[in-house]
Amino acid sequence: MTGLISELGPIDLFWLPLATSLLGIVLLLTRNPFFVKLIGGFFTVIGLIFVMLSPWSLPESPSSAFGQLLLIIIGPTLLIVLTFFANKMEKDLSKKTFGKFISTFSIMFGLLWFLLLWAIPPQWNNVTNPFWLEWWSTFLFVHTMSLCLGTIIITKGNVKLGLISSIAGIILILSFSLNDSGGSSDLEFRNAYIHSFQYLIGVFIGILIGLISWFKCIQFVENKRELPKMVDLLDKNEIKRVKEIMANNIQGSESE
Amino acid sequence: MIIEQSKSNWKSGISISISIGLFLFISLTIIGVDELNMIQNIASGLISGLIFSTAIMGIVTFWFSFSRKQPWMPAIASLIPIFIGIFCAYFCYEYLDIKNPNYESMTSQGLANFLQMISAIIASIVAIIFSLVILQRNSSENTEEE
Repeated sequence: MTGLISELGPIDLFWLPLATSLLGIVLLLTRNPFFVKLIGGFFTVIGLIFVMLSPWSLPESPSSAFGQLLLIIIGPTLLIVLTFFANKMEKDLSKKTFGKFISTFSIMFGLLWFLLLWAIPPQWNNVTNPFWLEWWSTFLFVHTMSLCLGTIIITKGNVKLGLISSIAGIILILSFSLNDSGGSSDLEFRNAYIHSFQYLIGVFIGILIGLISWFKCIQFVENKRELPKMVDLLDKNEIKRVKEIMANNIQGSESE
Repeated sequence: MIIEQSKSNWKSGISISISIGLFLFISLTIIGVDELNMIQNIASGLISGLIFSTAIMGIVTFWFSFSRKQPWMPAIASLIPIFIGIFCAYFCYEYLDIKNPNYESMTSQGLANFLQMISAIIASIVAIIFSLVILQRNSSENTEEE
């Protein structure tokens, strides 16, 4: 049974919460009122909790592998995201000694956590999680590319560290694709990397086409709307009457 | 002058990043992969991205039209790209041979592709934030100067 009516199934325990969390993110990002943002945040958190619990609530459903992926990456992701926002809010957390220590600790711990996940890949139904390898290769690829871009375009920041990290990313990708590591072979990593590279290009083009087609549709509809009509000009009699009223009013105010 | 320099920085940055990406792609392909279904992979990503972005923009348009008491036309118009996306998906699955025998139906394959897209987007966002955190860190030399 898939769900909704007789007993709980993938629709109730996975797809509905996933849709709710996406709706929550949309509310959170597009609406200004605090109350709506609060509701958006609530929807996102509740939806994500349900999705992350899917390996237990829906152990045999293939979708629960995605829930497991979210569950295993939430820790290091939160560490990195919190460090980013802490840096933003404190202007520059890494300038202070304690802040620098916390920031370094979070980054290193987040990276180590990811590397540990790479060394011991998450198991789902006695096989490696089908989403994990592609997630990891996409992460490495985008991380390396964004660092390459960042080191060239930034005017303020640590270019040296960026350059070193970006070269380390390239070396890591090449070494993973030449040697067996973690729970996967070099061929599996290469397959996942090539697949995720092509898939990411597709997603990027798809999102771009989607946004352009949406914009064109809305533009077309807005252009079709009738403009409000201009008020007709006054005729001679009306102008004469307006002049009379104005003259009377001016004379009245002067006599007072 | 500053704008010109920033433009050239962006151009060189993007071109170097793309070159490195292509270098890695070509190197790994030369080293060896099982199969290179380029069109199928790009098309399945494209369909997921198209439907996802149009659906999200549809929700946003509906919400804004509703909250601002505008006519329903924009909300209805935003459904058109979603239908185009679904039609495009049907066309691609039928005629570009994207169908995977591991999945029972087109719907289950589409949902699996959708999850894969979400995971790719999450991976990209986390990777970009991680890069920003690294670039945000001031080196000791900069700190001393300031």
